[in-house]
Amino acid sequence: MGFGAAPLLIALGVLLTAGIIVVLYWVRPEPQPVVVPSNLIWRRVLDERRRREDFWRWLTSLVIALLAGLAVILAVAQPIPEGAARGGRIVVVMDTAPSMAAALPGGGTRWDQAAEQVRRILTASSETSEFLLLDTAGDRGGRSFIGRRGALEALEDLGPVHGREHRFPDVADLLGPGSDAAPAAEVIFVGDGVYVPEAPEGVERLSVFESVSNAGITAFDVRPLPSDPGRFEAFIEVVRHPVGEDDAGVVVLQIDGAGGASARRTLRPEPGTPLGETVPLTGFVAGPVRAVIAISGEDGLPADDVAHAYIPARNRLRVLLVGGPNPFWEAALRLDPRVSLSVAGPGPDALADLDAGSVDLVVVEGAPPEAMPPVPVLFAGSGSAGWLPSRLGGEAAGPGDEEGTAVMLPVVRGQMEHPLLRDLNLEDALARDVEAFDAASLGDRSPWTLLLGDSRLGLLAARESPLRSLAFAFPIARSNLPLQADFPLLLSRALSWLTDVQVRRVGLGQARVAMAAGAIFDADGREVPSRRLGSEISFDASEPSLYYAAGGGREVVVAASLLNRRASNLNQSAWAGEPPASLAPAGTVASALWPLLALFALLLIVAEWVAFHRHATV
Amino acid sequence: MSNSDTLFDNDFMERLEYLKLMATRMLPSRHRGEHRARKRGSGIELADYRPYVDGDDTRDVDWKAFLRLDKLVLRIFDEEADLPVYLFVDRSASMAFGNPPKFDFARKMAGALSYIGLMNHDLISIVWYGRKIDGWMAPKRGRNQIFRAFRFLDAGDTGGATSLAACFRTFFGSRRKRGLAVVLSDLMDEEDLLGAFDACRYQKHDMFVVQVLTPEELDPALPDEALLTDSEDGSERRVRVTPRLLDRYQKALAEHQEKVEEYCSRYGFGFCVANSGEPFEDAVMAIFKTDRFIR
Repeated sequence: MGFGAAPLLIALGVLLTAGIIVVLYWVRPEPQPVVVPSNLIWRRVLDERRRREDFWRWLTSLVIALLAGLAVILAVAQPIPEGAARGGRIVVVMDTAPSMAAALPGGGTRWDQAAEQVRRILTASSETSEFLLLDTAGDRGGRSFIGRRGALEALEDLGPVHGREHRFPDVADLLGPGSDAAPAAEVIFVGDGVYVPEAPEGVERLSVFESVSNAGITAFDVRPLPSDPGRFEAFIEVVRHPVGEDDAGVVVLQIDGAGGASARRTLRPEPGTPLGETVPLTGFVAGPVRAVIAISGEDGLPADDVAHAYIPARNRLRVLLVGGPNPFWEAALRLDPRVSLSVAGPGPDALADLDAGSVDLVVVEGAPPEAMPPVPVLFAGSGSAGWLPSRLGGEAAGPGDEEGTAVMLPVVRGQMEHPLLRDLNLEDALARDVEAFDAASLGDRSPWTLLLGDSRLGLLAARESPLRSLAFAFPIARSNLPLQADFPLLLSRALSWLTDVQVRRVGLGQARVAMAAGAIFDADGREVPSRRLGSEISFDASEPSLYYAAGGGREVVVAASLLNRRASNLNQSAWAGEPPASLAPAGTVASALWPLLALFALLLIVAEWVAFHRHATV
Repeated sequence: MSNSDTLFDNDFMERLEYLKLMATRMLPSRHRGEHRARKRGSGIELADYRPYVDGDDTRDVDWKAFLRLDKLVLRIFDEEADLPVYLFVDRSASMAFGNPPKFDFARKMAGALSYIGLMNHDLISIVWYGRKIDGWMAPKRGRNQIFRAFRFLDAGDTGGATSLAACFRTFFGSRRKRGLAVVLSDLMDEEDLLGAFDACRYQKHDMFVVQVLTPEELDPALPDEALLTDSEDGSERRVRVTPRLLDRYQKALAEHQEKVEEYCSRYGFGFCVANSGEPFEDAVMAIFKTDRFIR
């Protein structure tokens, strides 16, 4: 026979019971002293009675006290009949896939059901059992067998995890090669069969799957209009997975922006089929945007009912043109109504005292400054600096004809959808005085990414960190770019790309931001715990929300949303036809009996008290 | 213990007169108070005649019969015997209980018996006893000794334990004239009570035992939980009082009394139980009714 309670708890229960019984004897009323002429007759009576009755009275008292004590001990210890309790080494694999967060019609979530199943398994097992608690995410479970209490505490630390690949862990591998524990251990898998449909042979499977209706946002993006980077539209995709007889199938979409701007749509997606919708964000200003959907019936997963985005555009750009008067640049920049232009003369001291708070962007044509300016830079020209990509030397650096005219090289493969170049036509662009960048040096280790060029020559490069910058390998004034029809669009995009608030969209779970040093804040300004991973900052973004990463003069907005078609489909389970596991495994009977046992003990103590006063006990 | 200075007051004396009258009525055919011994001797009442033989006291020769019959005839008288009455009054601590105290009750009975005895020309001795003989009034005879007996009784006090056996061994260890030993006690004696009676019986004394008990002893009224403390030895016994326990007490008390009564009955002694809550004269009358004190 095992016991559901810990030995220390049992010992405490025994001591407590003994103490109560002793106290009950102590608190009995003291006899009233009476002086009698002689105890001669009383002695004879008592001696005779003692001989006859005391044994039985003592026996009765002892039996009642023992029964009361036994009942209390059983209530505390929760004994488990032999054979009903699990014993030995037990490996419990918890399904921590996002679908486990599905809310059930009867209350709670699948995870709650799974945790309760495991909790009952733990409490119903024998005291000597050992447990290894694993999860399907693979990094939050244990590595060695622990006791019941430790397993219960470890269970509290687990929960559905987003943004991970979920699979059944290799138990034998986790236990290490040569471990003989794996074959001897009993392995139990508790899940819903959505993300992890199969378990190895020999694994006992406990299903908590129950079909639930759900509607979710599977895509949400705020993007500038191609024709006008200063205006935005939202693209949203909604999917609906009803259970059984569907209701009206109406999904109400609400998009809210900064300053009270909002848009509302009523959508009717077909069951199981994503429905895309583009919503012009007319009247929306720069700032956070939130999309929320609502349905009339049950909704299984709240996490996919909301999505976040950010309108990054600035309404006013303070641009410093370095290099003296430049008609091309001045004319081009002043075409953009956002630009407030100032000009600085050429020379190394032009940027020496630059205040990052007073300028949003520096445009440099000609010789590059020695140090990288503390604000985003748009550079066009020749010459080298440590912060610029290295250039090719000799003739190779000047591709083109005898007059030094070079044809604009094509867009590098993979950069066709770059926000700067998407849908632009620069095929007729020509440039002179080109000192091409060394394309071979712009690899993975370089902060620069080549946008225009080929495998050898680089004409346009961009970098993301620590500040966004663009570098042309030739002076703009020595090219016909300003004469191209798409040049105003290119320049406008470049201004937006360089100065816009950087927005990073992430799924739920652990998020990373490319930032060497900084802190993460949530939408309310509270700092979120984070840690550095090389040149990145990692933090937990388990809830759909906007986060702000700030450090080194940069700010990155992180929009965390689920946006996962698979996660929104909560009923795609391989175990759909199976009934959910019973929530009353063997052994819990003892747990359910403890109130009755405690009540029985109380009744016995009361009976003993009454019996004492009726002189039936001693 | 009663501290009354007037234990034998006028009221008591009136009761004694009543007892004396009642004793006379109960024994109409006999001379009250005079006890004739079986031994013929030098009394004043003529019992018989016999021929004179040498050596007889010539003062008993009936000279008138000699003149008529010319024979020496000797007058034989019943010897007039004084009946020694030994009143043993228990003065142990247990006798101080009751309202009135058993000790006062016993003293009044002793006083009454002394009065009756002295009025009948009996020889009255009073003995205080506890673990030993604590006081003794030497044998007194004559009506004028009654107040001496009362003063002796009035001066008595209670205290200590009881041992009738030790008392009898001491008292009857000396040669005593055979008589009537009256024991006035609650008989709550841890030592061999019947052995004590044997000491008296072996000396061929008659005996009358009066067990004086309070109403509380006869029918105890105790709290449910009681710690009983013995007044004599201080021993304590914890009892949980139930009707069943009280029944057992009654039975044990009855067994104790029956044992004494059986002994007394077997050897022709008298025994009675006196309730100190009742008038003492009732107990005295009960003694008279046994036809032992007055012969």
